[in-house]
Formats: sequence, C-alpha cells, structure tokens
Amino acid sequence: MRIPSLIICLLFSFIPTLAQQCQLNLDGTWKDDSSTKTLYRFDAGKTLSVIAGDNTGPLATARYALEESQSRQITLTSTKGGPILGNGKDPVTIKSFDDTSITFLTADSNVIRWTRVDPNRYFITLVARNGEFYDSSGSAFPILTRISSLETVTDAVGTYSDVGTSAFGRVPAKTYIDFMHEPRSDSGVMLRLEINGAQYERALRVLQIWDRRVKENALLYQYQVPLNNIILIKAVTETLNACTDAVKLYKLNYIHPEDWISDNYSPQFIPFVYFSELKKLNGARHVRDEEFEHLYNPSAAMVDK
Amino acid sequence: MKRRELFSITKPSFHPHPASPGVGRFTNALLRTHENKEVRFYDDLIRGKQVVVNFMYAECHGACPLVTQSLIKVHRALKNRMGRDLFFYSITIKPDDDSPAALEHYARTRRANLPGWSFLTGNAFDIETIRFRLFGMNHPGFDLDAAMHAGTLRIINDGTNCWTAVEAFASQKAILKHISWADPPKSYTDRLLESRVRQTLIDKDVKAYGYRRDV
Repeated sequence: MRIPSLIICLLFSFIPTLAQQCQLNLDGTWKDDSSTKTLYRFDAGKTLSVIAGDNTGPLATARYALEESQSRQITLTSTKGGPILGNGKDPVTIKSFDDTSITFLTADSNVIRWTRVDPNRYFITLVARNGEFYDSSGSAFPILTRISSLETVTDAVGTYSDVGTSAFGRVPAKTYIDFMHEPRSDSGVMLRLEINGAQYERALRVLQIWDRRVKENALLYQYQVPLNNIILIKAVTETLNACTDAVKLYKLNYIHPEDWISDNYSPQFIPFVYFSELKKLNGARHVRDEEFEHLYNPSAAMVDK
Repeated sequence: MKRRELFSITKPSFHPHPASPGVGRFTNALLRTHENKEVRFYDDLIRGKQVVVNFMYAECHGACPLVTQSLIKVHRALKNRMGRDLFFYSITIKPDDDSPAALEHYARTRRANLPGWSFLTGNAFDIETIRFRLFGMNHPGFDLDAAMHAGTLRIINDGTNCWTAVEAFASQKAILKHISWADPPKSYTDRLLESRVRQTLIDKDVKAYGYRRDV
C-alpha cells in the first residue's frame, strides 16, 4: 500500500462501519424476572401497561417518554393505578439492554431486570450446495422462518438454481423447501439456529433490502453477481451478533491471512465454505430435522412473495 | 462584450455518448443538494457532463475537509469551466445524519459553496448503490470499507464515456491532469496551437539543458 493510501485509511479510520448497531426496542411484552405472573407491555402509542397473567385487562397504565441523551432514561406518568417502575416520579435509567432483556436502575438504586416475552419461534437456516452449476458451484442462501400458532412465514434470498443456471434474488418456495432437510452428502451444508425476534427482524431487513436491490436493478455488483451473495450472507450472519455474541462467527473480512476462505476460494464458492465453517463453529446449537419438523408445516410455509 | 463571452453565456447542451451506461449503471436516484433542491442523479447531474465525484460527510474532521480544500484549489484553477461544462459532486456517506442544511453548513464553513459544486444527500439505499457503481473495485473487502472510496475522486465524462480516478490527496497538478484526460476532444486548431506552444518550451529546454525535460 502506498503512503498516500495509508494516510487516507488512517484519516478515515474513524468512519463508523455500516454494520447494524444494537438498537433499543421497547415495544412488546416483557416480564419481570423476579415475578412470574405480571407482564408489562410497551406499545407504540407511548403507553406502558401492566397486565395480569390471566389477561383480564391492564392493572395499571402510564405514559412514557424515552430520553436518549447521555444516558437512556424513561420518564413515566401514571394514568391508571399506582407507579409501575420506581417511585413514579423520578426517571428510570436503562442500565443495559440486549435483544431479549433490559435492566433498569431506579432512582432509589433498585436494579430491575425484564425479559422479553415472545410467543413466536424464529429460525435461521444457512444452506449451500456444490456441483449444481457449470463451474461446480451451487446454491447458497439463508432461510428465515417465523413460526407462530397461526402461521409459518418463510423468507429466502440468495443464489439458487433456476433450471440448472445460477440465479440471484428471492428464492422460490418450491426451491427452498428442498433445502429444509439436512443434506446427506458432503456436497451440501446446512446450519439451522434458533434465534430471537430482534435477530429475526434484523436479518429479515437485510433480505428485504437485497430483494429490493434485485427488483429495482440496484445490485451493488452488476457483473460480478456472486459478490452480491457474499455481502448478503456476511450482513445476515453478522447482524445476528449486533447486540450480543450469540453466534460464533468466522471473520469474512478479506484480511490476509486471518480470512483464509477469501484467500483460497473464488467468490462463487465462498458462501459454501463460509457456511461449512459456521457449521463447525456452531454445530452444538444446530437444530436437527427431528426437532424442527414437528414445528414446521411445509405446506403452510410454501408461499411465494 | 467579446464574441467569446457572448457564446459562453449560452447554456451548453449536454449529450451522452452513445455507449454511455446511462441510468442502468449510474442509477437515477432522487437526491437533494445542499441548496435543498431535488435532483435526479443521472438525468440532472451526470447526463452528457464532465463531473468529479467524491464521498464525504458533514461531521468528518479528518480527511474530508482536507479533500475539500484540495478540491477548492482545483476549482480555483478551473473556475472558467466550473458550472458550465465541469461539475463537482460531493456525496455524503452518512445520508441519515446529513440533511441538506448540514451539508450547506459544511460547504459554507469550508468556503466550498462555489459555482458548479453540489453537496448531495439522499436515501441510504440509493447512495450505497451509487457508491458501489461508481467506486466499486469488485472486492468486498475494499468496497465495504467506505473509507477506501472516500479517498478517491472519480472523474467521469458522460459525453465521451470516459472514466478515470485519482487519489484525493494527489497533488493539484496530478488532479488537474486526470481531469484533463476526461476533457472533451479538442478541435484541430486548438491541438495545433497547443503543440506549437509545447514545441517552443521543448526547444527552450533543449537549448538550455541539452535535453528535453517534462514540459
């Protein structure tokens, strides 16, 4: 690297990366770790409600305002019942938070931890195959699944086989359904992980952006299409760890010699090797077909978007 | 008024080269200038024109002001062409933070609110597409690092379909030379005139040093 390039890199080195940051999202239902029956619900209308476990209606409500200056603080104004958090007068500080929990520090120094309550289950399945296309590379895409009591929603975007030729974009249902089972040979790889709602939403956002890029002819790489899939799978997997190191990741950063995958493989093979490496690192958390099949209803999920 | 001046005040018409990649590569994203004017990236800013594009952001206190200072010097050297057949576009890499007002403040405080120079913001999706389409190196390791792109000036003449690039910290002479590579073709008379001037300098050099230096 020439000296001017080095200076430029150093001067710009404080530019924040475009990776997604952990964002506080209060909306939804929470339960206090110290109490089993009471639930708390933040809604978008800036109301916090206390709900009894039997769903008989709110026991107390308060309007809330979130201040995000130096420290995150919530100011609550009771509208029904007594104070919900702290003494009801002083603001409550958010000490820490991640995708599934939030810890408050009240004015009288009490530490309260809430955990998110989510009736849905979420999965990410990373699948890839070799030997499908003329250059012996193959399909590689992440599949996101949200399973609720009412419906199963599946999204998949990436490189897939369209009658033997490589295609990039939203994967048709009839194609991804074929990838929902563990491969029986070394030419396929699959890692299925159970994730939380926030991780699902972030990963889904990445897939939606790439789906939009395909539809609007706005791919980042117009001619080197496999490079788009590399950026997609890198963003999807890295977004899982935006709040906590939930998944053991391989650093696909193109830095020699740390990133041996990009050093040794052509772009079209990188997703397969990357998913294989993630499978090695996270094999213990892999959700096997037997566990997944009783949750997943393929016919309900086979909906093309 | 001299005849040349009379012609220069008529607005030039810009025609893209038949081989120009057009909207397909440049995109026709809707952007906003620091003057809060809506513009289409290809139709209003690139189509048939010669442009210099760079990336920056308003709260940057490291390299961006230095690059802007360097461009101000280049602007000064080419002021007769600026806004007529040559345009500078500085696009923010942090569009969510940089409103047109923030860019206007940046341009004003850096004394870069000059004719023919627009500071642009827009939608993050569109700006990322433009960044990759104009500065992409077919290497995710480089391209995902916005700093790699921010250290480069992309010079495009859509009228001749000529693309070139130069390091933002290159000397003023080098930047001017790269811009001239993308200049529209000169007439035979102009080239003849330039050659005569250059030959005089060469002759002078040979006489003084016995060999031709870089003239």
